[in-house]
Order: sequence, then structure tokens, then C-alpha cells
Amino acid sequence: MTELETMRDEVRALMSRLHDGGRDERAFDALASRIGAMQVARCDVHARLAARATRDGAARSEPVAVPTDVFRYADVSVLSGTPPLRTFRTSGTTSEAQGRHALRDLSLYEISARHAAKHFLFPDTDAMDLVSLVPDERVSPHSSLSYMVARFADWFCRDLRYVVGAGGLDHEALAAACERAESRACPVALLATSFALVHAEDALGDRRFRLPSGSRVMQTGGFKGRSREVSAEALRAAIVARYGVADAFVIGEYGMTELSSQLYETTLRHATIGDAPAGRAYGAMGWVRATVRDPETLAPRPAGERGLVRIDDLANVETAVAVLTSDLGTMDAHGRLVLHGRATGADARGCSIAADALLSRETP
Amino acid sequence: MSALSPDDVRRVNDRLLSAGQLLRKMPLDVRAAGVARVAAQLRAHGRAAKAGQPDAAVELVAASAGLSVPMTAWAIETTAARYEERGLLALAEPLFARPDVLPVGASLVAVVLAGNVFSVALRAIALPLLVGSPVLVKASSRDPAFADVLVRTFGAVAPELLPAVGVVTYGGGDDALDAALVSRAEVVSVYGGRHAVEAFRTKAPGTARVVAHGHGMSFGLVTHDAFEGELEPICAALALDVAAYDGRGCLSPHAILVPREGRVSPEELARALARHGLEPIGRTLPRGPLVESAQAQQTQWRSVAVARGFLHEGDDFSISVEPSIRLSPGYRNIALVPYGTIADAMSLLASFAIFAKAIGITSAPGFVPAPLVSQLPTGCAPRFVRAGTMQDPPLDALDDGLPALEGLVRYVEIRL
Repeated sequence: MTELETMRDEVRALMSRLHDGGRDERAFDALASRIGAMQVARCDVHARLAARATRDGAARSEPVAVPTDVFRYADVSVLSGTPPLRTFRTSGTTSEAQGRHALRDLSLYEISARHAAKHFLFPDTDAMDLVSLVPDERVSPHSSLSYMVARFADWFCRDLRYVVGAGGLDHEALAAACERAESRACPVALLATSFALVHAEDALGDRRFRLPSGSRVMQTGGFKGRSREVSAEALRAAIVARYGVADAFVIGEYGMTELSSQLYETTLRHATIGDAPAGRAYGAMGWVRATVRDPETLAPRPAGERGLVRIDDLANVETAVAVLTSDLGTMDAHGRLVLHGRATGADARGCSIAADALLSRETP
Repeated sequence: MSALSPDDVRRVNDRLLSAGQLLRKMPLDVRAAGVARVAAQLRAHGRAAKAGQPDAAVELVAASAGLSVPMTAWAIETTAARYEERGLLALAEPLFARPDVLPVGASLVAVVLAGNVFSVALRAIALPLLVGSPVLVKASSRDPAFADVLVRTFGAVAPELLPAVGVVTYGGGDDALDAALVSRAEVVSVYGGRHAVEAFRTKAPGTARVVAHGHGMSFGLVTHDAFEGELEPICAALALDVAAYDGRGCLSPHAILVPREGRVSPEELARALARHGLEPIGRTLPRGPLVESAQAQQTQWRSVAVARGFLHEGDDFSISVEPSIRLSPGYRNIALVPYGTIADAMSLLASFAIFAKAIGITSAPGFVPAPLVSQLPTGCAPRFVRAGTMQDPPLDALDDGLPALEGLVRYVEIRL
């Protein structure tokens, strides 16, 4: 068995042990450290970033995080010689040089996604009807979100309807799916990007629904590259009013192409099972750790202090066990992540082009 | 909630329109002299701060703009130095070139400033006044200080022009205030991103001309023959372009194209640029504080550079060598992008050229950029200037390819 396969097995074992939401920080640290060292030894990108991080001779107690932009310009993989089983790409709405997350093994991704969704999104049910505002994976084969939703269909679904296609959101199909749920008194889960929900708000006009009790809405993603932005609070209020679901049953999902695991808001878990803290923040499974960093030094910041979000994801064995995002957040007293949006740099650039505004013009 | 109301803004409009009648009757040389006195006063502030004397105005502007005091003093002094009376008169001269037409300044110019290059406010106010137009400026709520300093300076040394100058400050996206701002304007001049320009296009009266100073970016180009001369002055000039306004302006280079093969390799040039350029300039014109989002962008940008190849990091700058152009977060992070032939350089620039505002050239004397100009995409008219002067445009510099006063006047034709 190779070193990589051994590590995959160890992560699988940890996921199995912690699938009910438990944590074992010592085991996490030990495994993260070994995976990080393996990635430095096998991947030139990791080796370069690690060399820079230790150029002052300082020892590091944690793996060096790979910033998300690096995935747009370099092959971040310990298996770059072998053809990937699946390559997920960032949406490309703001960037021609898309981020690429190439995976040769999807088993850890799937185990992680399944456990996290069960824990945070479907803790009170084994299966329900799903309505997806996320494109079918056959339409968007490079979208990790589409891949995840397709797996949800395998794991948690009685009936799945896609209400979005290559041409965009089909709001009549969305309305029909909601009316069907109402008439059958059968709860549904709407799975959507925030942008699709805003689009639905614009398209549905005065139509309102009272989805059956237990229905829920999973929303994910921001508005980068889109012309219309709506605050998270305003969008959530609109969703509650539009679909007639309880506020706690609107759950934010925080995932990204560069990760194999997802974080979820804990409101539904709190409302149904009662073992999650109150308040709206993102929780992670035991093989994922969110921390907030000083944007310049990258030193960890204590709970309550704002900084850049770093995600350590043990499921990213073959790519980057730690990823530095451009998202701003704070950790709450329960170790959950509160997101504050992206650090775009646009505020200081005025008439000069901020990178985020014009990355679509860059040469890859 | 803004303390300023749309009615307040309308009252300023009324006051300016009334002042405009007097302003237009004022001879051109009187208006030019007033603007020149203001510029001279600003230069005095800049010189004092540069000499190490505490200067409250410069310190206020520095804090507001997020630049160091020396950088702010440099920016004020170099900008204001362009506004001498003779130069102002010369700038207006072409307006009177035809005997059968008479230039008439717009009845009111509304200007929306961006927050990245504070000194633009001087041009935004001075040029309308020169052509006899009162001007209402919306200063960036993030960086209002220089506009205030300008108003105070007009009051002190050019009181005859002060009634024709109005400044308002409020946060972006206030539709009612925006509508009031442009409600009486004959010309609306917008500095800022695409969204800002588009928003004011829809808000401006149908009769108004909208002059867009939209998104832009700039680049440096070092030619193969550049290294025939001394390396140190080349590096000093490149460093000034990179460091000015901490790389936040639309005239700041995002990347410098450098010869792949030559007497100095790209990596050697990077080290020399650090040693002879950005390190010394960091001592005389230190970088301002990094805002949170800039820190985040800088971290991402530098990491990509490390992953792609070469990165030289200093205390307040970094220089990468990369195979293709990647937008810089500013704040003195600059990429050197190697090229083979000038045609290669143009193809590297191709995706960005439509947004190019300036190309800073480092070459042996006599370099003619005609082949580059002929390859520019339609709608693109950058300025080709010597390295070291990218962010110090002369008074008669073109604005997005058009003469500076072009959008501010109408001509009355007289054929009797």
C-alpha cells in the first residue's frame, strides 16, 4: 500500500469515527501534519510555498495553506502525472483562468459530503424530495456543487427535480415543484446558489408558497461577478417569505471547488436535534477545521477577531490539506465560522481595475 | 444615514449656477491665475511636508488617502507643479484656434471622484474653472480630505473662484443624492469603475454629456536596447512608477514586460529593481498602511508568484517574474513578464490593451512605438510615456485619448 493510500485509509477511519459530529483535535493535528509533509515532498507547489514560509528558519507546526488563487495558475496535486478522475473548476464568472481541483479518487469527497450533509442538512430525515436550482452534473460536469447535488440524489432523495438547465433557471418548473410539494404535503429541500435564489426572486413576482413543514432551503455561494448583490439577511428573509419555510430551515452551505468538504450553518441541527449551539454560524465535521488568520502574517486570530478564513480539510489528501481563502470571517465562541464576505481589494482601487473586477481579461 | 439631503445638494447646484454667470464673464487669464495660485499654495504644502515640517493639510490628506505623508507630499507637489498660469493658458489656447467659433464652458460640471488617487480632484476642479464652468464635486466618502483642502485653498488664495466650486461628500449608492448631484449638470464627469460610470449614465439628465474616466490599467515595457545604458536610473524610474500612489492608480503598472534574453535577465532585473529602486524609494516615499482587503489580495498574489516561479520580497514591496500577465493587487507588488519580440509583448498585452491607460517605456533614446500603436485594438488609446513619468501626466495629457478640455466646452459658430 502506498503512503497516499495509507493516508486515505486513515482519513476514512477518522471520518467513520467522527461522523456523528465529534472532534479529536490531536488526531486531526497529527494526520494534518503528516499529510502536509507528504504534499511538500511530492508536489512542487507545496514545496515552494513551504520553503517561503520557513525562509526565516522558523519551524511550522501546521501545514502551509495554499491560497485559492494558486489553484488558478498551478497544478496543486501530489499526483500531477496521473490523469484525474474528475477535475472540478471554479465557475469562471470572474475569471478566465479558472481554479482547478483535479482528483484521482473521489471516495473521500463523497464520504465527507455525505456525512456533513446528513449531520447538518438532513439530521432529521433519511430521505426527502429534492428540488435543485443547481445544474445537473451532466450540464455542468466541472462543478463540484453539481457533483455534490447529484450524490445527494443517490443518498438522501425520494425524488429529484432540476429546475435549472443550460439556459438558466426555469422559474415555472420551480413554481410547479413547489406547488406539487404543497399539494402532496410532502416536504422538499431546495438546493440552490444564492444567485439562483435572487434570480428566482426576480422571476417569481408575487407568487408565494407554503412549503410543507420540514421543508428546507440550502443556499450556497456569493455573488462574485454578478451585477446584483443582496445581503445575506435580506435574501434569507426573502426566502422565508417566498417559500414559507422557517428561518432555521434556511441553511447556508460553505464549500469551494478547492476543497473536498463543506461547512454548513448549524441552525437546522439546533432546531431539530438540539445539540448544536444557537445562532447562525458555520459548523464543520471533525476532519475539517476552519480558522481565521491575520491577513498579513497569517497567524491565527482568536475568537471574535476578524481575518482571512483558512480551511484545513483532511479529505484533500491528494491536493492541499490546508487552503487559504479570500473570504473574511470570525470564529465564534463555539468554534464556528461567521462569514463576512470576500476581501476583493476593490475598495482601494477606484478607477484602477481591482483584480476581481477584471480577472476575466487575464491570460491563463 | 447621510446628514446631507438631496435638497442640500440642489441648493449647492443653484449657488453654482448663479456663480457660473460671473465666472464666464471673468477673463480667461484671471481664471488661470486663480487656479495657478491655488496650485502654488498646494506646492508649498507639499514642499513643507517633504522638508520634514509638520503640515496639517498634507497629514490630513495622507490619513484620508491611506498613503504615507512623504508619498502624499510628493503627489501634491508633482501634481500641483503642472498648474502654472502659462501652462493653463496654453492648454486653453486651442479652444480659440478657429476664428469662426467661440468656446462656451458648460453651465455646470458635476464630477464624481474615485477614492484611489486623491490628486485627481485638482484636475477635476481646475479644468472646468479654466473654461468658465462652475463645478460640483462629489468626493469619495472614503477619501474626502483633499477636496476639502482644495476648497479651503481656493478660499484663501483665489476667493474670486470659490463661489464656483462646490464639494459634497456622501457614501456611494445613494440614488436620491446622486440624482440631485447631476440634476442641473451639463457635463457629468465620472471617475471610477464600470458600475459607477453606468449608474451615473442612467442618472444624468438626457441633455447632459457624460465623460467617463472608467476602469483602466497600465503597464511598463522595457525594450531590448534599454540596457545599453546604466541600470540604476532604469530601476529608479521603474520603481517610481510602481511606488507612486502605492500602485493604486489606473496609471500604475500592473506588470512590466521585460526582454527574456538580454544583457540583464528578468531575475537579475528583479533583484536590481529591488536594490536600486524599490528599497531606496521605500525609505524616501514609504508605502502607506495595507488595508485588510489589500493584505488578503497581496497574500494570494505573492503565493501565486511563488508557485509559478520567482518572487523577490522586500519590506514593503515584491517583484515576481511570471510567464504571463496577472493583475497586481497594487501596493508595490509588481510582476516582470518576459517576452521575446515586441510582437510577443503585444500579444501578452492583447487581452488587456482595451483597458490600457498608459504604457511606460524604458528604451534607448529614439524608440518609436509606432508598431505598437498600429497593433492596438479599436477603442484603445493609451499614453506612451517614459518610465518614471507614468503617474505624473502633464497638464495637456490626453484623457482617455481625448484632449483634456474636449468634453467641457461647446462651440458657438459665428459666420456673419
